Amino acid sequence: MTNQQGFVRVDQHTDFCRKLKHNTITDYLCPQFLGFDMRFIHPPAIIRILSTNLLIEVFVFLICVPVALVYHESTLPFIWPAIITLSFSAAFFLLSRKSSVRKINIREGFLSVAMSWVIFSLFGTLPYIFSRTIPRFTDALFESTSGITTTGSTVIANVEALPYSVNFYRALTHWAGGLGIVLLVIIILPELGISAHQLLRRESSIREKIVPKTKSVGFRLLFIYLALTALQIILLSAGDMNLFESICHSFSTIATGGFSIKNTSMMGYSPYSQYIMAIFMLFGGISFVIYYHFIKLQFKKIGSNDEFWFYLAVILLSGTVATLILYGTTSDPFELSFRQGFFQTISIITTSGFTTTDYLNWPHAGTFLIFILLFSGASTGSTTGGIKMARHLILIKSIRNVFIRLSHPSAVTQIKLHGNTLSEKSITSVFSFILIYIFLFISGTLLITLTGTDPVTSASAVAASLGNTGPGLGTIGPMFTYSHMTDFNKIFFCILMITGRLEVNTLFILLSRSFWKD
Amino acid sequence: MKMINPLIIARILSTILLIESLCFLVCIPVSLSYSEPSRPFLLSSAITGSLCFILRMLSLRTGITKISIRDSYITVALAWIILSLAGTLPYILSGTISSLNDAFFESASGFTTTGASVITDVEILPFSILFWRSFTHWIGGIGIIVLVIIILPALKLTAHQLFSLESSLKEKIQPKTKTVGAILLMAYTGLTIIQILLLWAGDMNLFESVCLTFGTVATGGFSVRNTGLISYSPYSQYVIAIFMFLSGVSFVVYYYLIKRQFHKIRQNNELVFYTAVVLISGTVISLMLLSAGDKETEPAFREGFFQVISIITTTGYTTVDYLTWPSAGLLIIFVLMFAGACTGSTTGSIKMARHLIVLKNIRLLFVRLIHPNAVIQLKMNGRPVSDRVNMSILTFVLLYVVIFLSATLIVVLTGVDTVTSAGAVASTLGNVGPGLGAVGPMFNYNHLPEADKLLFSLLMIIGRLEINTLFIIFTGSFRKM
Repeated sequence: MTNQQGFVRVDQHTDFCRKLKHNTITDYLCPQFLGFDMRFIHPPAIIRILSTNLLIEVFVFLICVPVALVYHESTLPFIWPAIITLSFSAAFFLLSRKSSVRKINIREGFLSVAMSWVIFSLFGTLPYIFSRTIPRFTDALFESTSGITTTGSTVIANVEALPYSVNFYRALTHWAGGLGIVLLVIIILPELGISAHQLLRRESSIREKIVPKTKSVGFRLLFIYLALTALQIILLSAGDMNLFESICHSFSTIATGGFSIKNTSMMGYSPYSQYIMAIFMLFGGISFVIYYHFIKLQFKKIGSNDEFWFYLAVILLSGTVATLILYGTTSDPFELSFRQGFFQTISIITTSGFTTTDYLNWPHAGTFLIFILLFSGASTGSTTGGIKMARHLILIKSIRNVFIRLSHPSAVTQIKLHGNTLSEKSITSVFSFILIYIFLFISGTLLITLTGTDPVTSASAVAASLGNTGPGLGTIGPMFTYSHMTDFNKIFFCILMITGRLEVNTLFILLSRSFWKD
Repeated sequence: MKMINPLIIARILSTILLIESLCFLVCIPVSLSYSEPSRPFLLSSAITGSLCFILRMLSLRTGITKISIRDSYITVALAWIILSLAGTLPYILSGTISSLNDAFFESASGFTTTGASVITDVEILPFSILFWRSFTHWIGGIGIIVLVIIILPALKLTAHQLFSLESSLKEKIQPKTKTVGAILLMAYTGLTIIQILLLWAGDMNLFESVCLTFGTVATGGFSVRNTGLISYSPYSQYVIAIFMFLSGVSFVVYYYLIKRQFHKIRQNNELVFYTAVVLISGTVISLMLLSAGDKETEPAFREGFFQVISIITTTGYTTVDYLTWPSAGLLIIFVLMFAGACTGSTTGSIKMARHLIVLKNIRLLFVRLIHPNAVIQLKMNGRPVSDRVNMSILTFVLLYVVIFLSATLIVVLTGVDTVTSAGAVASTLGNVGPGLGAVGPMFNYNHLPEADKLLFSLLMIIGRLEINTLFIIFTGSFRKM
């Protein structure tokens, strides 16, 4: 099934692909990209996928219409975009009528995945523009991209003044984006052979299950996603949030987004709501593969999942450090320090970006901890961004390995994840990923600093956008917005958010020479 | 392998102490000619000499040839610590630095060719002490070259196998270590003498020329004035910039130059990459300074290139307070603290060869993504890099980042502000010298908490030992070896 490099031999899957039709969402998202054909890019196939994509977005717009009706708000800001998007979708469909999605090759796969996010963000600006809540296109694009990529950084200074339907739409973009990410990361990217994602395919058991029954896995994941959302809505509305607030915040939490409908994020809510939010952010950072095993009652698989335990350990450790820093330097009671410390670290590690306190007022050490955690990310296969725990874990294991080799030069050592041995090639690609990430961070920061922004704000804004976190330090701290940034910077952050969401590699591949040349 | 053999270690350390006690003696003529007390150096020499004698007596019967890998690791790490510890004697005995912690910082900073100082006013120091500070740089520089080019490859440290890649050199080194050592020493002293003469011809006196040359060739950075090189003429600044650049070139290149093997130099990717990085970042900074407006072309060019070369080669001399630059320039300086020049030079930090391999890896990753079945070999200096070496280099770079982050966290926890902490950690770990914020080029490390100073001294030694050597001693597998 796999050759020594861990890549799937594609030719053996083509039969399976031919059996698939492309009628449902799951079918669109399932591995039809498998017919690797390395010849040239075939635009109709990509246009066809984008047309399906836009159709999904039409549904997103239409869901907001009932909300607008309930609150007696204008439904036009959603109807017009729906009509426009639908006509584009229809036009795209007609253009690509004769092409077959089945014959898509690896390059078209990469290109369409990247284009999907861009198109989604572009059309997502329409409700903001039509409702005149964000009249400027650049701002609307920033807000829309931030929503879809589940980043959660905003340019709206006063979100409480927004119509209910627009607030609902913001949260819904998170939720739709989050669902897209789960399906993308668990199902599509591994099939594109993005080696960093081989982490997931290393889980051979889920791989065996996924390949023969993509549809059922897709539905199970959808079910888990829905169930977690529903559970959180119920728990939150039992506290001091009303139903609308509960729904919006649940959408943002499970997608690890971070849009709030209050200007002060979670600060004004009761400790109960904050604890619920923290726990569900934690859940949002767990790989959906774990839930899949959980539903299937395969607890042994969960036990052997290194990343899961590493993730919990990191949360526990950094939460404790933050708690101790706060408890040691302020006169706050222990419960408050504990709640603030853990809420903030969980929020940043899972790249959500909700805040219960302005961490810029924390001691230096706390702020620095937050900054480092902007790079962490939670589990692979969750909706979080950042570098992600599995890569950190592999890095730590490799460092240990090097020392073992130094002491025992002839020792043959291997690095294992989830009980499976990783090939040198996978490890190198994980390392390269981390180094590209750092490289992007440094050059992005340099670029933003050159436009005149101060270094702390620049560095944290780049880290927060690239990691899809949201709030940063300096003038984009938790109590501020990105609205004062220049247009150039906003567009650059949009690109970073999408780059981070595409797991860095995809965008780079599209820019590389070897992609366009045979 | 067997247990640690303390006697062999003692034997080698005694040799190192002997060298150091001779170095103290070199300072005595300087103190005599400026009619300063020579007692601090005589006493230091006597103490070090007797320590050397005791160690030698203890280890009289041990044969040095049977040294194990483990013992060599410990010896190499201990050597720097002992060298730095004994180097504190002149500072303490002369009363210039009273606290042991400060003196250790200054001494470690000297021997590791860092150039970070805790002395607020260096201009009031006796000439002999100033000479000793710069001299520690020079000795440290020789130690590094010998360590990196001759000892570490012999230890088969994977991160250093960049040198064993150069198998031709290896072939040469192993049969005639002494000849290679002599040639390297010749290149080192040759550079030193030329620079002293060139500086002396400018506006510096002989003493300043000698001290600053020691600081330049070893890429150290101790100056004899409080304001670095600001007050010297453009001529002197250019000479120092050029010699900083030359000191960042691998001494292996000089070896080939002396041996007239020019085709070997042409194959050296690292040299080309190093030159390119210096040119690009120097140009960027110069343009930035020019566009900021208030400078002429020549001063902007000189200022930009001098600072860039100084930071890339981890020297740390400054002709301007770069903290007054636009924030983008500051950020470039900070990023360059992680650069380092060529492997096999006296510079610290990550070094160009590793950056180059990282870049090649990244390119390879993309090629592999597009052509999954392509078999591509990573090459360096025209030779393939094995997976194992490649992996250990990538790990080195990431470990460097991890150490940087955790050390910064520790320093921030002691109450120092974030920018100063990050700047100081990057600077000491990379053996650069000046940092950002409160440890910028016009300040020193004196005001930092005592615990931080000790940490910085350790970081300098860790950076100098190329990280791995010191860490390996603390790993479980080392004890079980």
